[in-house]
Amino acid sequence: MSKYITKRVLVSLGTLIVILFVLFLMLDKMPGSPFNDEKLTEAQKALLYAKYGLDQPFFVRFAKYFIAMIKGDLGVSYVISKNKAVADLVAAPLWLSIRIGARAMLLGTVLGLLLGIAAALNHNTWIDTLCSFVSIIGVSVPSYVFALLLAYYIGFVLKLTPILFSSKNVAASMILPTIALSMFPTANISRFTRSEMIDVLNSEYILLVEAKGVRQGGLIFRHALRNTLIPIITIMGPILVNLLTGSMVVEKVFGIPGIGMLMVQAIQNNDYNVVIACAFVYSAMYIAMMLIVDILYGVIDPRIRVAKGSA
Amino acid sequence: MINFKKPLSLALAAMLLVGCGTSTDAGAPAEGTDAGTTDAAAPADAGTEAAATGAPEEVVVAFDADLSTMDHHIATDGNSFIMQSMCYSGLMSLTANGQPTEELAESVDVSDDGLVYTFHIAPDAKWSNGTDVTANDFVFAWQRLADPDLASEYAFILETIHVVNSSEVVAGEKPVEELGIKAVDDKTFEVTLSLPCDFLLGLMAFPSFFPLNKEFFESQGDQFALGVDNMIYCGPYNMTDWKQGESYTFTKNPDYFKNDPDAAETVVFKFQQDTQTAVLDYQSGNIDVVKLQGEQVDMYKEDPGFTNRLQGYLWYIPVNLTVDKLQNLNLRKALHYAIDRETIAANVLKDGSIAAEGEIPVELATGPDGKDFRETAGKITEYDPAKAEEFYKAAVEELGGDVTLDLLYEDSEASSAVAVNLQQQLQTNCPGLTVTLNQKPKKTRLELMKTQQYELGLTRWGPDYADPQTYMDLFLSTNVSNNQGRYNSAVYDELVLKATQGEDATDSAKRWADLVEAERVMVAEDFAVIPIYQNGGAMLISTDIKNVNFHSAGVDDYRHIYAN
Repeated sequence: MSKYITKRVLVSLGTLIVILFVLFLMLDKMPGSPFNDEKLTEAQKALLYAKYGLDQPFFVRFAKYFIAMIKGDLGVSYVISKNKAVADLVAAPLWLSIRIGARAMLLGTVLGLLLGIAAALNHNTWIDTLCSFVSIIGVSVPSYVFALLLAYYIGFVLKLTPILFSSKNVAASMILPTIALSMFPTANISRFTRSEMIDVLNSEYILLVEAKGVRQGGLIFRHALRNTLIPIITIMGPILVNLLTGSMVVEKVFGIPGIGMLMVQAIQNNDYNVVIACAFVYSAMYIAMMLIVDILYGVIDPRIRVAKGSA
Repeated sequence: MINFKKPLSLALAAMLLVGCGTSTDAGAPAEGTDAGTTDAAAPADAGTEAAATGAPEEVVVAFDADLSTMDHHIATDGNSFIMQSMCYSGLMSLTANGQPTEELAESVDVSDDGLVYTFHIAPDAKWSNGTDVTANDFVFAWQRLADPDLASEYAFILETIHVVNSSEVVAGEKPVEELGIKAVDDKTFEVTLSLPCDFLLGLMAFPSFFPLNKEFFESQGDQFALGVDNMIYCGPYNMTDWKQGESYTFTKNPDYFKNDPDAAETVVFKFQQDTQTAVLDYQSGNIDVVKLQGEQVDMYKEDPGFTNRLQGYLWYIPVNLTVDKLQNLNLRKALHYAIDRETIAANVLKDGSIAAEGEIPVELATGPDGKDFRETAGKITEYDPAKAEEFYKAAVEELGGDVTLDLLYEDSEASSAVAVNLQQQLQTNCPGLTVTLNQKPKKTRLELMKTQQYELGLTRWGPDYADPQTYMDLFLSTNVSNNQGRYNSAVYDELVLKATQGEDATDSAKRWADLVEAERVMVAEDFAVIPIYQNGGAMLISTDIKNVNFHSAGVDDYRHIYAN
């Protein structure tokens, strides 16, 4: 197992370096510059490029960036927050997005599992239809629509929570974005739970467990749910990363200074170093999530652990 | 099997309902722990918030673009300039109607030839660390602005006011010490120009020209102006909180020598990109000033707080005169007369924009007679479909057939809507003309236009200072980077140069008349540039908010804002 994990970690690191290179290349080919080229003369532009080392050949820039990055230096911002260290600029938004994303994930998982189980146990009844309806809404309606509806009804009409984010009142300001973001995981997880659970409940071993007279709670949670969880864990990784990356619209609506907003701003302004840092963080999270999912597999399903151990 | 599943699922359904309830509430118990653990500053903030809710003296202004920098020499965007002018002052400031008035300067002497400006700095002008604002602070600041090592995007503004040697210093051909400025003594700052500049005093209210304390600056190393602890101030407010991407707080500086007793105690600039929720928060009473966008303008125009302030941005089509068919005067005339600018402003944009009456926007500049440039120059654009058809027919005859023109525009919502409407108007009013649409990202559009790879292109210019010259300079035959259509008129060049650097430069009235005539020659005689519309800036400003001064060129002034 540890050999397997070591190998996976090394492959992941290699992938990250490739991603960094591709990011660099894409930004290099992007039209425009970080500087206000509407009024900038060519001479002035050349001065700015020289100042930030953007006039150097592609490979020199990449090598310099890579070496600095290993030392923890991600360069400075050119536009969004001029001359501020990118590492400082990214840290706080990233942490905030992770906090909101994790809450939404937790809420979505709990709701999704409950909905899915309820639907499976009442297969083809009105409860099932209701649960399906909820998950269809959750998947098909974009999260910014939820966000606006929540802002309007809960924030503006009922005045239960603040509408816009304020670091003076972080917990209360996170309520609406958390709910808005949890719609998607709720819907996805409930759909998966439902179909898996139906399969599992119809399997022979459940019939055996039932025949042995195990009580209903034990049957559902110890035997059926455990087997249902395996495919669900596979989708939870990508859903979580989706939550973090897809949160930019919700962040915009509620004015949350998160990593999604930062990245959109950076892209709009050609703020190269910030774009690279954000995209790199996203990639790293995605890869880490896949790794964790693979390891979790082994923990939940002994068969996978054994098979991999012997391989 | 059924009999045990039903009660369980009902229980689950019940849990779900309760779950919804508790999960919403879950924020509440978590709140306490959160505030304590995640944000070290939270308890202190909670205190200030409590204090703030008790005091009506806090004004919250929502901006849809973030603060980029507090370093006034590298700033390029409006919001950064606005925030900088909260806590820094210049030699002059602008009155509500845009006239320059003394701020850090106590008085100004101008030499008879208009080439030497001597500013006497007020004895009471001090930095927030108690040291005097001196002439050396201006010398250091201006030299830094010109320094090629800093590579400031606004270094050109020193050349605009013709400071002696500014072009050479900015280009790195002469050392910064040779810039035409000096500290005669601690409180006397002298600026020497190579040519007179009518609008110099107004520009002294622009942050690029603000002072900088050398000693403090050097003590900060590369951290200067990156946080509230890395700045000292010389304006009516101190910056007291900087939350990147969220909000920026300015607290009144009680020691400022021109303290405005009415101005609000605290002004918070809140970054909120989505204007829909910003407006909701405005209606909830949490925000006092908010910008409106697109359709919102129509929706809220009956709101008591609705205000439309015109912006200096003018959108126009510089016809590409390097294209053979566009050298045909009748074709250009047809294009000019075929466009109903009122329709574009009122029915297509609906955001408070107005039809352009010329290449110089309304409310940009006031002439020596105290009248707005547009008032003096009049309306020189005209919509007349009959004329358009007639001129187009003449053009077809001269060119030997119907014409196809390509219209280049950028991928913003507003530009796309205007371009589609322009296509329709031009094709309707010039029967036989075909207009093809060519949408490109903004940066690509600029590149194509700079290199004359276009036929008709929709572009804009934002004024750098309150004078028609900011626009007129663009179309000089010698201006290779901005004269996109390569307009080349000896008459126009002569008029503009005579006014800005020639014999009429010292005579304000003659200068003004030259500029009025130059605009007419370009727009209504040569039809080289087709003005389309002037950007509106619709906002909601809470009815109890007073003293926000908008300047269509220059920096909007929130230094005296207060809530009634």
